[in-house]
Amino acid sequence: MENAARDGFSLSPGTSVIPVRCSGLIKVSFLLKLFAKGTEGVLVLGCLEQDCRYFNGSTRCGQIVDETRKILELAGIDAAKLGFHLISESQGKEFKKILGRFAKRVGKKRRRRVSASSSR
Amino acid sequence: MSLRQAVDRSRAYLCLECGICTGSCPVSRFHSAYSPRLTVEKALLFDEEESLRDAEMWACLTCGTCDIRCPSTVDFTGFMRSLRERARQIGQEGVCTHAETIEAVIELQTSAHYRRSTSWMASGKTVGKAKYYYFAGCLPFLDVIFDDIGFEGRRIGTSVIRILNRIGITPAVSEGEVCCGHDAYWTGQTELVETLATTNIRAIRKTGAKKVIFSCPECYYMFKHVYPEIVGDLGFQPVHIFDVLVPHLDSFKFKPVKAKVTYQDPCRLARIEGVIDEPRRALRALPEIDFVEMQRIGKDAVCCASSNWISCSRVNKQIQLDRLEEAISTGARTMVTACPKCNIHLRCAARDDECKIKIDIVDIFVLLADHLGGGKRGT
Repeated sequence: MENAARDGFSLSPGTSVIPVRCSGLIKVSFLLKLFAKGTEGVLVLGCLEQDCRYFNGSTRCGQIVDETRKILELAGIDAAKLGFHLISESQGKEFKKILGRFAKRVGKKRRRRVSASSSR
Repeated sequence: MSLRQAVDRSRAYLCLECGICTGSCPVSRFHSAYSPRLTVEKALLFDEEESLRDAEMWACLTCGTCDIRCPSTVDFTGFMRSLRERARQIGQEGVCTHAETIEAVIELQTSAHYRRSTSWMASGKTVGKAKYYYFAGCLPFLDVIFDDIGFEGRRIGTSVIRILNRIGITPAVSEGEVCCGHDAYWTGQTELVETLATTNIRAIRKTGAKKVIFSCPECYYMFKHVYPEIVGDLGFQPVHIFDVLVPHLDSFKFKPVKAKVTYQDPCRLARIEGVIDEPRRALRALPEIDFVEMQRIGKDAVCCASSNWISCSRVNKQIQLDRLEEAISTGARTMVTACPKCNIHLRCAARDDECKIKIDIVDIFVLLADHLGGGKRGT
């Protein structure tokens, strides 16, 4: 994020950052509760698998995201609202791109959802 | 509810301090610090604060063994529930198992975005409106959460629908269905139970169903005993699938099962509802099956040692291993159960590194549906 900030990147309003020590420590319940509270989208970012300090943190995170997506689908919530990417801290530009793409995707879905409910 | 009211309502003041509850309790057997008798005594003698801060109160499985054995007919599990409800008000709570996943799923189900997907049903016919409704409960969610231990919740639900289809029932299912709130009820979360109950009742009433069929004993218990207290007249009749299934057993023509099996009685089904013969009749209807009983069966059966998704410790594991030992001592290599939770918990124990017991845990409806032969269709 610092690398992206150097390139003039700033978070859009309404986006908040939740730092975790390792993406492998994120729990399914934690992600689900974010959605239950009405969060439009959650993007999980972790280190590259080969860079993991704890051997399998990023792999574990991938499994957790998969499980959460399955539960979201069952609850009728679009699984695409939960994004997951593994990037290195040096990939500032990539980070900017990923965040931009994700915000656009979630934003689109939100507009669609709002318009669907207003037409009713 | 105050402690005084909890004592009055559960008739805990009749306690003779005989200790039969503690002697019967599966938790006390392996965990000497926990004693139902002492919990009641503390509540009667000490101040409220001390009773409510007692961490041991969350160790109770609410299995009901003490209830049926108490000579003074004290409703101990009811007392425990009131105690927990009160303890929650002062900020005490049990330790959630599975990193709160199930609690989070329930929270998600109460959010405004929630629309239950019915895509999990791989086969079987269901409709939007019908005379019968099938309440699947948390099965599809548990399927995802306990996938790592090989628990197949979707398969249980699909099997039940296949059995119902064979009888000639095409049940309705709904997108508005949520968790029955059983665990929230026993951990004292009254408001959450009320929310879940009203949501479920509204969803089921929309389908116009007159009979609601359950395969999960806990959902059945909630609809039969707790929901009427919350919403009054349900407008439909809760029925356990065994009541629908057993009269049709002869017409099914099952394929033979060449296995030695034993049956684990779920607490809510056997001890509370008294449904003990029906599952056994269903199992004996399978040709060539070698059905053997464990020592402790029916109302005396041992709980799967973890309930309400709180407090899973070494103690609970010991109770489970003890039960698996009992099952294996019958010579059976397959344990059949009718409750998804017994299935999950015993399966988890059997897969433990310390466990040397090799036993398969199978759901009764999966077993029956998988051996359905070409019997007559419809009624």
